[in-house]
Amino acid sequence: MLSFLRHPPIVSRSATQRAVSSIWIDGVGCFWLSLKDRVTIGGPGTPSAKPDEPRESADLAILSDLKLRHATIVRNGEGYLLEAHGPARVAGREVLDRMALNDGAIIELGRSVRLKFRQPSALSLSARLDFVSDHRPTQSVDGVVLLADTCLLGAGNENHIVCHDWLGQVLLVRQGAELWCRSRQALTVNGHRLGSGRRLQSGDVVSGEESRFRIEIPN
Amino acid sequence: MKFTFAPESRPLDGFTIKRAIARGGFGEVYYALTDSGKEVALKLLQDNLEVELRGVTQCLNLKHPNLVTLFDIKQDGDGDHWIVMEFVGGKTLDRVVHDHANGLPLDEVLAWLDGISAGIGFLHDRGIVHRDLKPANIFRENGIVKVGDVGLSKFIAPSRRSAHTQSVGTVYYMAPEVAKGRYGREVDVYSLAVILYELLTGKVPFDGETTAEILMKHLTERPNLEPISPHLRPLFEAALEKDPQLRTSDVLELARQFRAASTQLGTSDDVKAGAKVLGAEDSSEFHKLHADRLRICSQLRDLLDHARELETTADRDRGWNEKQPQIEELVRQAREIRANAFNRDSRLWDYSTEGTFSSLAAIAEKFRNVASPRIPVLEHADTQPYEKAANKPAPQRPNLFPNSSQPTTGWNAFCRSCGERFLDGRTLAHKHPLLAWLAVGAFLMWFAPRLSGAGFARVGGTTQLAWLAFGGIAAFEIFRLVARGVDRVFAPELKVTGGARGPRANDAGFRNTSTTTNAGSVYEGLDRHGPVGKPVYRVVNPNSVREISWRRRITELSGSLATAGLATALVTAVLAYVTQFFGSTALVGQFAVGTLIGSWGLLIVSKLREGLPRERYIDRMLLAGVGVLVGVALFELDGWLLIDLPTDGWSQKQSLLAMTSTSLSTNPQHILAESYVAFFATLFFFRRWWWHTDSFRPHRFRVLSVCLTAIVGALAARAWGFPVLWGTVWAASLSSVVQLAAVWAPREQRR
Repeated sequence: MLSFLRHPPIVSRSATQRAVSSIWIDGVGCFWLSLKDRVTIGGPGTPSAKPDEPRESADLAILSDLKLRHATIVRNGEGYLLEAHGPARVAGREVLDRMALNDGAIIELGRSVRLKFRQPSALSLSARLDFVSDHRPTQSVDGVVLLADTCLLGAGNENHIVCHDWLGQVLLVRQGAELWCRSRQALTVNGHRLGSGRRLQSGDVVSGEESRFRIEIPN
Repeated sequence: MKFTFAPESRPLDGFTIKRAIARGGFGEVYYALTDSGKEVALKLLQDNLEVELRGVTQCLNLKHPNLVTLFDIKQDGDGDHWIVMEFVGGKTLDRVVHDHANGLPLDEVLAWLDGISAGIGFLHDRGIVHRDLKPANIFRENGIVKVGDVGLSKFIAPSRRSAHTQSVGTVYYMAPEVAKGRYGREVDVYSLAVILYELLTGKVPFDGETTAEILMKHLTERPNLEPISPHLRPLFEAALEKDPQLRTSDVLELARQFRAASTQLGTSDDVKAGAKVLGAEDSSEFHKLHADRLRICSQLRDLLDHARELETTADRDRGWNEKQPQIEELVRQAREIRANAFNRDSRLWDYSTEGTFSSLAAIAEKFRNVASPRIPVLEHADTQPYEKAANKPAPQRPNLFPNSSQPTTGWNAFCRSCGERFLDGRTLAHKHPLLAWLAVGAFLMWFAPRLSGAGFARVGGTTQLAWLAFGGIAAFEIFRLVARGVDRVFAPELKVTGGARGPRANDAGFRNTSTTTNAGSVYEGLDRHGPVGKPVYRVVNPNSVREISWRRRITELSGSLATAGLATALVTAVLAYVTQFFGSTALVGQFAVGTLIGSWGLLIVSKLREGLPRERYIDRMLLAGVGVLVGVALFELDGWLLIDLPTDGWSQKQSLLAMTSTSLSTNPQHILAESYVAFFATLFFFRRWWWHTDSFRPHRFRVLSVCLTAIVGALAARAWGFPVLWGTVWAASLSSVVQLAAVWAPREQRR
């Protein structure tokens, strides 16, 4: 009866525009931040004949032989589920319909794509997908943060984004569709003091003593 | 790390810098995208010297899969030179070593060694010495090892290097003759040997506090080869030789020797751990152990595969019962294998075999649970305590109802047997608010998931809470009706008394018989009872002045504080799991701590003032003071946990705070210290909390009090720019927790 839930509508957008926010961190890498409760994973799809025509693809489109919409990661109040629309295994077991994701679970999609599901912080519902196999989206991404409430950045392994050489911790807090930045360190956002917290807008550069990152949020 | 160029800057036409990657020995490296989206690494040569450029130019057209490809050299508007290189993702060897503090598995070492030696061998073959080989320069992406910084170091004299580009990270791998300024390709052999040593053991052979100390060790000290397997020691001795003339001359030769020696160790690519890990000194012994271990592994894996198959079919056909004996048989076989392994040699059983074994055991456990669920035997167990309770003679307590027949059956009798506090023969609905609340809780647990399942979860916290509150009240009323019915059937002589405030219709017969009555006399004698045989009590309430010993105050207080902890946990758990009121776990912590310290403050002040002549404003001021402390503590906690309470539309600018405070935050989501303090002080000041906590309060738990407190909380929150939803829920929880936790004396025990 509820079968329509398993086939989420495909998001249409132009080929160059990314639907997820991304964070570029000096000395660390590039991570995508997804605020959605349902994140579809799939292959790249076929480019349309006309360059300006919107192209259909999954939220996380990986250059691989996956179906256009191969699986969906669903966040509910307590945790995460993987809904399979194509062949998928979680922690070595076939996913027939859906399966709960636990910290450290390896998600195998299709023949060769392998992702690792991490929920590093007990204080946050947010999770991270690491790329285990060599498959990536069209440009290299070091991980995808499924941002439920907060995203921690810092040196320890309890952070969603591990920044090995950082001394302090930075917190990205989600307020609805907005992202706010907080930290106990003296940080600046585009040269202005961060203070007790500040809303981040696309293109904002947050810098500290030994850290710097830039955030891109799609329109 | 500070970098010169900001993200999105375009020092070179056609390239957009996205982020900095690292600061190398020769300059900053950035990740950039060309206008069409190609990823490249851009290296800025800060000391823009002809010789460096010549070195790079020489290498521009070298092609090898194990070398980072150079695309071009470009000059920006300021005259600085940039090297455009292939971008290599993945971990550097430096990071890999960092993650394996005790050395890498042997097959990993071999994989890295093959790539590095092929790349460097190719360079040597073209007459180029790398000279700056170190783990931070070596990458692996898509399984291919790549060596970076090719052509950069060759022409740099050591004296100038040590002046400004030398870092300690480099000297670990530097051959002794480099300091003297003479070097050939043997320096790369030396560096590679140091890297190999580090890969195997996790430590570099020459370590020290300062650059000078490490350099001195390179020049004079012999490497400690103790941690290296004896088969590999000659190889390291030759490759770490101080004199370049005597050193192994070629990296490919070093790699070949290493591979030969490791095969001699009996190591193949599928063995994760080498002889060192298995603890076998002798190679033949190692061979045997290894073969046995592989056999055990494959046997166990077969068993596990079989079990997984059974599990899948059982899941599909719901045939767990039929499959269970087969699973048990598999587990028995696995146990046998384990026992045999341990009998022969405990080294045969390691983490991987244990992992396979426990996966199998987990499947078996699941089968046991699904196939024959362990239902407790109810036929005898559940009725006995009840009957026992019913048949038990009336408890040895003061007889409260000398003129009425004792209710000896049903709920009252059962409850009577359960304990002291609630069991004085009054009606169930009235005397057991705790049970009532358990019923409410059970209802909520049942109701809430259905709400969210029906799509209510998305409606938002407020609507959901309103629904839950409605459901809770309904459940409470239903419970009371049922309880009344139960009481009517089993104890018809007891009438449920309604209302809460002072003597009323049913209490009309109460006579304040004797205020000086001595202990126990309340329960004796006909004249103490009303005309219809009702017990008669003195009217006492929290305003009654009485003497309470300090000892008793402390005892009761400590009990209450402990109960408050439990009650807080209960309330928070219900909110967290049933209503999903909290957005994040940190907020759960904030809420629980707030409720706990708030309720402790209230309990402490009230208990210390209990029974003293009531001076209303002194009490209120004391409570407000506690409120201030609680507010400060919670603001500090908020800052420490780096969280914001979710605000709900009421801006601080519309609150009283806007008139009193000049320091409104730039961040409207951020709750000010003033808001916290003012909210709790107001909440604590405006409620008569001693009516919640005094042991002579009319009822153990009054829902009305909770509702009133919630309203006061909402108003206080609205006034002070505090989140209204949180203010309301916090106030209601505080009221519930203190009422649950505070000691309460039943009316007939008050004197």
